[in-house]
Amino acid sequence: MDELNLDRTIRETLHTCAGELQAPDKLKTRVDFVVRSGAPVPKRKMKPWKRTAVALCAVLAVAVTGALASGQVASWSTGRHPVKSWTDFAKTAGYAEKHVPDMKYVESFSNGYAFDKGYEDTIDKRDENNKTLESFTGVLLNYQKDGAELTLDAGPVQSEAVYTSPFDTVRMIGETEVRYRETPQIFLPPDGKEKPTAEEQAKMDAGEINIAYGTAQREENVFYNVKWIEDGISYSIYTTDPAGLTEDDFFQMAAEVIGA
Amino acid sequence: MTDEELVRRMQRGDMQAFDELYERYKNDAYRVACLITGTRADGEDLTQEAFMTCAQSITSLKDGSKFRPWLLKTLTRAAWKYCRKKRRETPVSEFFETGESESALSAVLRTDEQRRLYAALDTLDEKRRTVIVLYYFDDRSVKEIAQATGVLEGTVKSRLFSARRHLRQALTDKEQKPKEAATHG
Repeated sequence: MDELNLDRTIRETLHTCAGELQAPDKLKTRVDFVVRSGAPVPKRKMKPWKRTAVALCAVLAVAVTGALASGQVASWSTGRHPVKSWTDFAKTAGYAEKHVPDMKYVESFSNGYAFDKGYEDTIDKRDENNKTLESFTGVLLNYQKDGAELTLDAGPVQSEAVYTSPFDTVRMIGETEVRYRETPQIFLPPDGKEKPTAEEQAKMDAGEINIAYGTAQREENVFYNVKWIEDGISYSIYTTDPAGLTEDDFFQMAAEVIGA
Repeated sequence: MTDEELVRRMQRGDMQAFDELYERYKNDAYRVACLITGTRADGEDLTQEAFMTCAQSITSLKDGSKFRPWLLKTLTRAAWKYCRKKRRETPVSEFFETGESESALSAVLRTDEQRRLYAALDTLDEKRRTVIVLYYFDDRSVKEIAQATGVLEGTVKSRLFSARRHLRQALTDKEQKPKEAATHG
């Protein structure tokens, strides 16, 4: 088949399939519902990698340290270190042993998620004027399976943080209390031009959702997270793209780290 | 009224402007979404998601005249993620709906050549399929496709070349089979 013939056949086939399609009226009803009612954005929303990274970093403030308890600390700021990152598992493990002694981790999970990259994670505690009061170091291990990602995050327990929520599902693994939660969350640009609605703020205050700042534009998703504390270290395994993982799967992964 | 004016109105909270933009581009978006996913049902989901995302982040669009490429960019990225997710969750044998399904686009194809080409199109990964759809159906240039999909023009050319080779091969193989049979017979 020559080039012109091929081009013609492709073009004709595509136009035959879809050239006359009309968006159904019910689609406008659906679009109006989500746009005008403020209904949650579906979880499968696509995000460019850079923005996802920022979003995950912003999440860590809550994921690692939980909610604020009291005192001078008004916010947590966190970021993956651009240089202190390793694609080699042994180097990541070496760094973890030095900076988060006694931290447990696995190279892969039984469900197929395997180590992809490790990062140093620096978390700043900031006052209401955004001045850094104190910093501490944690370690992140990224795992991948078929393009889906999740993160194991570990760092020293912080006295200003609250690590439990009434919305958690709690199970005991050995002598360790493990908590799982799916939390709706909203990310907003850091410039303050876009603010949460009164309803969103009320839900945030009630602990029903997370609101974090640091993305280029408003984003919404669900944060899947299993967490526990062991030997003064807080652990969290989380993702915003569970790719079929269930609550039981998250507890199983926690069990594998606890048993490491 | 131009897209730029409608986007500006929308950024000020005028949802009638959104309705006008939706009416203007709903069919374009729906057709592309259907072709990338292969079914009308999935095309509806993705069109909804693309318009919703655009409505919710309209303030980030600096140049309102670029609304259509921005919508397509949102749509294609949503489609890629959807296709990857679907592939993970769906048995291979059920991934592409066949012409027997009412929702499948291929149900309207009548010639053998078109059906073979569509079947070959189905076996392309979502990124190459998207390039084919935008180039041949939406008549976008390589540069415009690069902008819409967030990759370099060279990557678009490479995907286009690879996809065309795959489609040509699928058609040529079938064309040659009777000849081979005759030769060996």
